Amino acid sequence: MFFNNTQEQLISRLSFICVGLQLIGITLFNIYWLWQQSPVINLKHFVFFKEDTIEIFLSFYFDKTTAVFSFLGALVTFLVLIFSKYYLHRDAGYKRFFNTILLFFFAFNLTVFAGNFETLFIGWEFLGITSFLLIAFYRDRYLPVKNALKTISLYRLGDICLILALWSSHHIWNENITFLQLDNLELVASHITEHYNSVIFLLAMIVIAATIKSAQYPFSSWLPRAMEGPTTSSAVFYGSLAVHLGVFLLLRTYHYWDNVLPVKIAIITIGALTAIIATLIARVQSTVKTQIAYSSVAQIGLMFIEVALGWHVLTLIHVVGNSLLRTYQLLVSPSVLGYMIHDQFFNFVPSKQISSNSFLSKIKNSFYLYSLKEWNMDTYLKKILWNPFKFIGNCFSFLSNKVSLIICGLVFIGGVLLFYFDNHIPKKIDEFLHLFFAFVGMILILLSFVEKRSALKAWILIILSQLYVVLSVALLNDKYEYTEILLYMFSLLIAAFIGILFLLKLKSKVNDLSLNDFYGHMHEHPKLGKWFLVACLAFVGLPFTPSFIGLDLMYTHIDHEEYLLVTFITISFLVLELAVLRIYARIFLGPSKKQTHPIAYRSS
Amino acid sequence: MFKANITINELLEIVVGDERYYEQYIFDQQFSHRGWSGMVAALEANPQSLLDRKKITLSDLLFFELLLEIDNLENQLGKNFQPLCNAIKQAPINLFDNVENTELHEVLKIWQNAFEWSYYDEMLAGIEQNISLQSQKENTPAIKSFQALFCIDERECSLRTHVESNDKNAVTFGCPGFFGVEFYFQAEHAKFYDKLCPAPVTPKYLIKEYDVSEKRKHDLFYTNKTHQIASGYFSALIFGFWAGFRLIKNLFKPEMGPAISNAFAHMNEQGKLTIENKNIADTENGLQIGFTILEMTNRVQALLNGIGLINDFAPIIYVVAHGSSSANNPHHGAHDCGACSGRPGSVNSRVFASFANHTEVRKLLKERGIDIPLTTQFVGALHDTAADEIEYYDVAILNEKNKIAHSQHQQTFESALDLNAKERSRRFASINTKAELKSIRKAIKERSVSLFEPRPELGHGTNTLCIVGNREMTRGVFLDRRSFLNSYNYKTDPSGQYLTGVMAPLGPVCGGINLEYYFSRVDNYKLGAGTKLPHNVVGLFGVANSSDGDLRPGLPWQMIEVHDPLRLLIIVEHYPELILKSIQSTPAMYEWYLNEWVHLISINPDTKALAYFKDGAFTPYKTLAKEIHFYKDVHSLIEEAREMETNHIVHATQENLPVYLHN
Repeated sequence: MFFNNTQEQLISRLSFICVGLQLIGITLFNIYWLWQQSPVINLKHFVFFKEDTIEIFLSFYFDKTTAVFSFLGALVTFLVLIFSKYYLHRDAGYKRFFNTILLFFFAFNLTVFAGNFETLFIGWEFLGITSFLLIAFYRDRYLPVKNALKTISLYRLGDICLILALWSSHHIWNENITFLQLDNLELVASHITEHYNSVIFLLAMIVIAATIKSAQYPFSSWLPRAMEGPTTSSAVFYGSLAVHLGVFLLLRTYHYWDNVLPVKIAIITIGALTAIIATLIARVQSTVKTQIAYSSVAQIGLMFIEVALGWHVLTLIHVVGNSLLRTYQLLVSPSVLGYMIHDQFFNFVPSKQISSNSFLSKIKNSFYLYSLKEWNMDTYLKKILWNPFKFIGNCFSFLSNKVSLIICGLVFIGGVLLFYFDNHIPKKIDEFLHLFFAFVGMILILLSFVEKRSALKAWILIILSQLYVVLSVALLNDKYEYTEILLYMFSLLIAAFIGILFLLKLKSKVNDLSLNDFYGHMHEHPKLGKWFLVACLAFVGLPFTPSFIGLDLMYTHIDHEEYLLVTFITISFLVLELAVLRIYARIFLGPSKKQTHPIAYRSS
Repeated sequence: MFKANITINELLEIVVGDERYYEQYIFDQQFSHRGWSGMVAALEANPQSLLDRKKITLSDLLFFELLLEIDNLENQLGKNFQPLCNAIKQAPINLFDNVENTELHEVLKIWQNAFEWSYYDEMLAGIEQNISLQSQKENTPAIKSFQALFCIDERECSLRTHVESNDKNAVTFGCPGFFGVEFYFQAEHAKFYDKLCPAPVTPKYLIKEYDVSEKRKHDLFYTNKTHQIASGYFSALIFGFWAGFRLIKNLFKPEMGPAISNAFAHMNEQGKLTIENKNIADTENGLQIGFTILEMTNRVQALLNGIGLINDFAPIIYVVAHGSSSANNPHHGAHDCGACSGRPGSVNSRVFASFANHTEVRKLLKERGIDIPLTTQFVGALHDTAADEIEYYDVAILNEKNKIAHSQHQQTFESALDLNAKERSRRFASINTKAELKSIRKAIKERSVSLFEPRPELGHGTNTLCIVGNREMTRGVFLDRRSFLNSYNYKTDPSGQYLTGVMAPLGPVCGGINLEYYFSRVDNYKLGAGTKLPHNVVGLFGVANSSDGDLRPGLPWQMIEVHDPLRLLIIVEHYPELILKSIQSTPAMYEWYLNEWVHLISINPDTKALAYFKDGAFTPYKTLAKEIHFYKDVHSLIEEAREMETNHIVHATQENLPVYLHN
């Protein structure tokens, strides 16, 4: 972070030292650990926050899964970094690349060493952000930015599933569970029988999160679009490390769902379906990287089946083998042109052109067309997930003008007053009120999601929406202490305020900040863009900002019977990150409008 | 709409409406994805470009795209949508209107000319001064140790200088790398032919390789078995670990493998070629297999006359072609010999050498005035410009005396290659130019087989000049690998009859190369291929960025970042009137000069005066530069040269050295 972009030697050497040391450290530690007959280690580390039943802490855990994954991660990252040192030579984003990969490595390690859901979640979120940054590495072109937004949307969905799992688990266990405790089979079994429905819900959330991360059916559409970064980043992310984390999550929570038959069947079904569908799609791919990506996903489908059947050692071997294979294949993928043409030159056999109208060939053609369209996964996601949000947002667009914003502000102040006089309000109205405020919060964030004309307005809508959400949760629980609300709101408002400051500063320079296209201001104002991104991330609740703790706390205060409330708030959080990153991407990323430097075509 | 023979016009009527806008609409539509449209147009014109031929035409693409658009419009707007033109108020644009010359054009023209002439003027002054310096020296060695024919390629100009400096009795020549022999080549077991001559030429001959005992190696990581479920499963389990080892080995100890394109593998060293045609009926697919004696003689005569080598032959004459090896490089064809349609010229050099060694051919040549003594033998060779290695062909035919001489010359070439590697290394930030010579050479060789190296060599980057004339003009000038050098002796060609043949390939080959780099440099995002890093191989015919993007024609950033976008300056040593007659011989050739795609300067052989070609005539040119730098030692010159800070043009251009003369 502190070096100049041209000091490539220094940057790469430092990265090598970090990762290299880690690699050596892990290898030595693994050997030592195996020597000691591999005990399972759990380390409770850093307590963020403590209250009666709530304790948010960082915890680390080490068992054979961790050993394998951490070693694999260090090895692959180290090799890819060496590759990248020469590969990215003289690229304008050299420093940015190494920074992001090191951040990714940190996130990966956090996930792999995680001892409880909170730590896992921190790593998971960071992974999503680094994915976004690496896919949009060539941020002065349209396609990488568009695809990065698509990918982060899906990742956010996975994050939300994990948050819901966190929430659900808190209510099942009444404390913040660690994975070590999960290993205790009797404890788990007793809880399962007690809270069967909640457990099913929690496991479903975990399975969905794993499915999204590992690009299994029906969430595989992000994978080919994620190949926009340099080959080395594709190799690290989608060839090997990030995409296998779904398997890791399943391995980690195995004891939880081992005895829950419906979940097991679901995992096996997903795995099998993916293996078949992904193979079919891989066979019709016309580009080499996407072909490798899809066949990797098919193998991960098989790994899902292996995990469900309990063959964990086989799974681990499979993970390592698949990772190394796909990393290598991706890194040497440009050679396929020379090699295969040479091969064709000597071994060409022209394909027989038979066109028949038989039933069998009709089926074959249908499979072919379906696979070309990737089994419509992208279309369905759009139809079921994003379009309804946009539709609702557009329905309420009458609210999105200055007058109604002021009215919203006033209502909010009214709500705060009500909060003060909490004890005087009858229960029924109380319930209605907090539902109402959550609903308004959700509508406001959806409005921001579809806002096209003014970035400032979108940002303000986001702030208002979050305030409403806080208010809603505050009104709900009488036990809610001031400190928690203040903590969250305070950090929120700071981030929001910084964001507004930057936006105004940019507006003074460029005169127009609308959101109906990508404006690429990063080229002229890189520092402004960088700090705005930091403000955005802080706003979103990235771990290590106070808003993360606030987020977790809020969820713990929602009682697990409040389905409607949780839905509204979850949708708010889902759309929140997307709305924020959308503002960042549309203002700062994409092809710039100024012609003083080369600009790429939209199709390139 | 679903009638049988609907035409494009009818589809356009549905989408656009007004006939006057059709052309503009099609233009906008196709140029929004110029990579794919261009590919389809190229395949329509040259279906044999693809090994696995596909029939496709541009109108097919138009038709299909219009159908897709109508489908999309119906999807969004329902069945009854209005055509586009109902909403357009502006008048249709005539695509073929003349471009108006505005003040912006004039300003850009001034800047471009200033950029070009800052370098050219200095170079011309250097050459002028050099000519007068050289005329005071006795340069041609009395007894020649060997002569060597190289390709005109500017990467060979530095090798020639180093060869000459290592052996003062050696003489080098330059001619297009196909050495005047045009044919199709079929390697043993190959199912297709390779064209080995400049692109516009259509050869009528075929040369086949036979008696090759070496088997081709395979690389298992490219099989599509890893992409199927069951075999993929086992591949992942077993193969995966092997992949890990391969990765570690390739990172720390790169070496040649089957997946790396190897220039030396183009033709097998030990194999035999069907060079001579004994029976006129010996044909295949309409091509004559081999050349007859008369055909051989014609070609040898044309080349030797063109470069002015018609007497005073050395005992060994090397015919050195060039090719390039690189790993992980879909653009490797751009590094090979342009005169051989983007392939290594090894077969051409071997074929030419065998022509010139043929006793019957020599008999005929003697009758035509070129007397090659029995003691002279030609040897074909291939120089790998990326790895800086050289391989010789058919050395078994050398007589005793020549065998001994050859092993000495091999040493000369080796040390010349060392120096060449050092000169190249100054452009590579990862190689320390001040290191020991052998370690630089090793680093350069490793570069050409490294998977992670996107710049195995810089190809034709920095090309600017093409000098047609005697070696004396440029001997002693440090050309910094920027000049194509074509040997030509005006003394042996007083009427200029061979000049036309010499200058004919210069436009398409050298001018084409220069323009390719020029356009990819001035706008790498739009006209070039962008950076290599996100490139994804599409089909087996192109690269695109990731899965969504358009095909990327042009050169990638890593190839052009050292290049200054200057138009080629062709310098010809002959009388202006004769040059004018040569270039006006065909409209295709004249177009290059009249439309200012390349510059042309003539040096009058008697007065040594310069004249610049413009608007159909030669006008005298006076150089402005006064100061020329001198250098004593090439090592210190290379070592002290500046390295670019970033690859922005403002910094990149400072890496070029000014003109230096050897003291």
